[in-house]
Amino acid sequence: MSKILLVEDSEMNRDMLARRLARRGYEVVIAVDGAQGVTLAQTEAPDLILMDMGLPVLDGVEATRQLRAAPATRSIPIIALTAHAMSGDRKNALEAGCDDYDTKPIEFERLLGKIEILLKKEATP
Amino acid sequence: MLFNRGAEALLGFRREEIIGQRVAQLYESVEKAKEVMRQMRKQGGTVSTFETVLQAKDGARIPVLISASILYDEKGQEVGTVGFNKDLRERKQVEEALQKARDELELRVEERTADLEKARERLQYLLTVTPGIIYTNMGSGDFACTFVSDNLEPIMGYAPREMLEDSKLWVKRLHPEDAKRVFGEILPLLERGRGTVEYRFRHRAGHYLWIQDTFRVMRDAAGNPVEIVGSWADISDRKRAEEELQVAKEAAEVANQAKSRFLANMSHELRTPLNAIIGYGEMLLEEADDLGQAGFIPDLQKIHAAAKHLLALINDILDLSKIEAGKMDLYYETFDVAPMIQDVVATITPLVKKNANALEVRCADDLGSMRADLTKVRQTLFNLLSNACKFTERGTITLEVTRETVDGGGWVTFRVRDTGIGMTPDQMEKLFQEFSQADASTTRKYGGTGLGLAISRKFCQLMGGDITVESTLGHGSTFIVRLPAEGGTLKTVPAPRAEVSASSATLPEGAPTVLLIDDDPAMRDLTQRFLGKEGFRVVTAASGEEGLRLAKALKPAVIALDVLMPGMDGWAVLTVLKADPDLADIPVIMLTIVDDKDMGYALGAADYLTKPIDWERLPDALRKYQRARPQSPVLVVEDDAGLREMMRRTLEIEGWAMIEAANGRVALERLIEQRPELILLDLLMPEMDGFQFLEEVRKHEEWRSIPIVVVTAKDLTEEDHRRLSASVARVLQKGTHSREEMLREVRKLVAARVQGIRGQG
Repeated sequence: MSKILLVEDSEMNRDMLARRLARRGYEVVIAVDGAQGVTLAQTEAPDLILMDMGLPVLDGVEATRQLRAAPATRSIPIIALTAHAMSGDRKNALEAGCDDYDTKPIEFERLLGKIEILLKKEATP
Repeated sequence: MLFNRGAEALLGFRREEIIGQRVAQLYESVEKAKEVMRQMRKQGGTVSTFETVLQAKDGARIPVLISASILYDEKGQEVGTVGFNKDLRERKQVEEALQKARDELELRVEERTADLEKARERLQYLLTVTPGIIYTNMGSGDFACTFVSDNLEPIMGYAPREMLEDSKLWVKRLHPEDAKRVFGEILPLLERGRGTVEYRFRHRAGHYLWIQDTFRVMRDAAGNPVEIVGSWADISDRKRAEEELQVAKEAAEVANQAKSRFLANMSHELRTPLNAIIGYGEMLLEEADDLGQAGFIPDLQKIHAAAKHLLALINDILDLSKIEAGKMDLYYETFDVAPMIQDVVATITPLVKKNANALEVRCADDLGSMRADLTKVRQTLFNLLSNACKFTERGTITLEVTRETVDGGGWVTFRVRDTGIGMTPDQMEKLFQEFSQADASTTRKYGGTGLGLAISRKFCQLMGGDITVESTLGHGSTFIVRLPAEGGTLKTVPAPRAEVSASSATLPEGAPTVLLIDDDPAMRDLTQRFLGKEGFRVVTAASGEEGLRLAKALKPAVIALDVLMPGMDGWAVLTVLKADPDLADIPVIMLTIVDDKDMGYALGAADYLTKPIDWERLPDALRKYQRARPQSPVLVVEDDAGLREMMRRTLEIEGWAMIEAANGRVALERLIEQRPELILLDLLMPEMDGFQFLEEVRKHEEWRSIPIVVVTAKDLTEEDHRRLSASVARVLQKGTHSREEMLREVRKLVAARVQGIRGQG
């Protein structure tokens, strides 16, 4: 069973995504800000990270940079969750090292597709 | 009575008729005769040159001067008179004529005086009623006034006398911030003989007025300037209005931006709760399914659909506000057209079926790939197709995709045709406006925000294309989307289509292509015919955007670029050209209307620096011209002594010797004495300005090779000019005289480029 680290500060979004992912059989670990996300990524060694970009303490871009800089977390796939309004976010997220992005509001099926592709890629090599 | 011959001739009597007669009968009247006698007696018996009037035989009056004496006998008795007369007729006539002339003259003088007085009064009146103050001054130094009209007082607060007595009054009351500029502007204008300057002048009461000073130099017969005649008009109101307008404009812009920002933020805030509604709605749908609660499903679906609709509206508003704020970014990527169409068709199919319509898709075989913002192309097509579905029942919707080439540029055209309700011309006009569907009732019947079309069109325009519409009421509509097959990074609305000259069609295959970018159709036509005749293939573009698109598509040998164009101007086009690695090598000839600054380049300035001088950049600029020793000095031509001093210090640190000149004339003298390595040249100087100096230098063969770096006052276009100096092959003046020169330049550049390409190959 794949483990997904969800880094999201909005309680409702977190609850919704966590429950729906769990229903699809994923193990979900939760972080509420960027700093906690970086810590949990190291201790929990998730298979994939869903990273909101507008996070308190440490924002998504910075958290992604730190994850990419640390050997232990360097190769964990990261999907950035960006707000529709902030088109600059997408660019920043990809530049910081995210593997893919999905815009909010999340279309769950679409996000699932992206998660599955990245997990499959991880598994093949 | 005795009578001599003279008397005979004078009076017309013969001697024999007269002798023995009484003397009195020769007079005009007895009274006249008696008067002579009385006079003689009074004066001791004699009169000398006494004026009286005789009467000739024919009765004519003869004025005479009579000199006569009474003759006495021994006893002292009067015995007679002896005398002679001098004819006065001639003298009298002269006198009368003189008198008459004098009278006439006096009358004339009176008339002239009256005329002059009238003219003076008229002038005086004009001087007081004219809104401007009329003045004359010496035309140099402090411009001390020699005359000023009476309306000085009501306008500037000073009595004319005060102005005339204080020679420095005008200079003293100039706004300190304007004084230097005003003198800088006036001196070259005096050279030209007339001009207008604007400045602030301090009213006697202490406040400042904006004055428009229009003047003309008066010269004597030898052409030497004698004085200046001019007028001062109070334009404070106009200036104030201009400032207010500017402030209002800025305020409006700020408000508009604030509105766009508010919309963007608001939309963002609205989405957060909407996210939850959609998300939890979907979850409940899944759970209801899992738990076998099928009864809830239709209601949950309605909530979900309504939330999705609301989200779509918010997204539209957000898109529109971003477009309006100029913040809509495009993500260009290259993609295959056919799969994208399949994708769109798959998405739209449920909507097509809803109104029992049929969808026909016709894709040309040669569609290939295109470069554009895939999401926005898809969104546009989806919008047009869903509109077609909405407004058509039991009809056919056709999507036709073709690829065409216009002027060497590839275009992809999408046609969405329906057999629906169609539109009136009136409705078509309003179609692309925000928040306006064909009419209000449409909204009630068909729903939607009315934003979709406006947004789609703006997307297409951002990508360099457009959407047009053809429609007949009751017979359906056709929406036509045209997009460049190779979209660039431009974000501006394109102008009219490019034209290819008719004559170029007959040119040989290998003819070098010149791309002419100019908004003036006359100029395009002229240049095109002119270059076409010379064997160049000429492609023209009417706007900067079009020009850039054609430059990408055609890779012309040379680009001729107009500077002044609406929208994207020549400098902006140049910047894009030079930033694109594919296009940076194409030589660009700037076509510009002659103005002072451009003249500097045309005259052959080697480089440009801007004021205020970047003291760190100056040495770099100088190093370009530094040669092996022995080294000659740098000639600094600058009227500002402080600036010269700063330059000297900077130059000395860099190991340069410096000679200086306060104006062009002195600089020419210095040039004769010693040849400098380099000249740093200010443009605005008294006596001989930089432009004149450049002209003089270029007249001397031996000086032409001296690099000249122009140091100009900073203004709006200087940055552009600095850019220009680094990237433009040459600046030419626009106009008939330079056509030969332009041709020469084009030939030279084409030859150089052809050689360069061969050299690489």
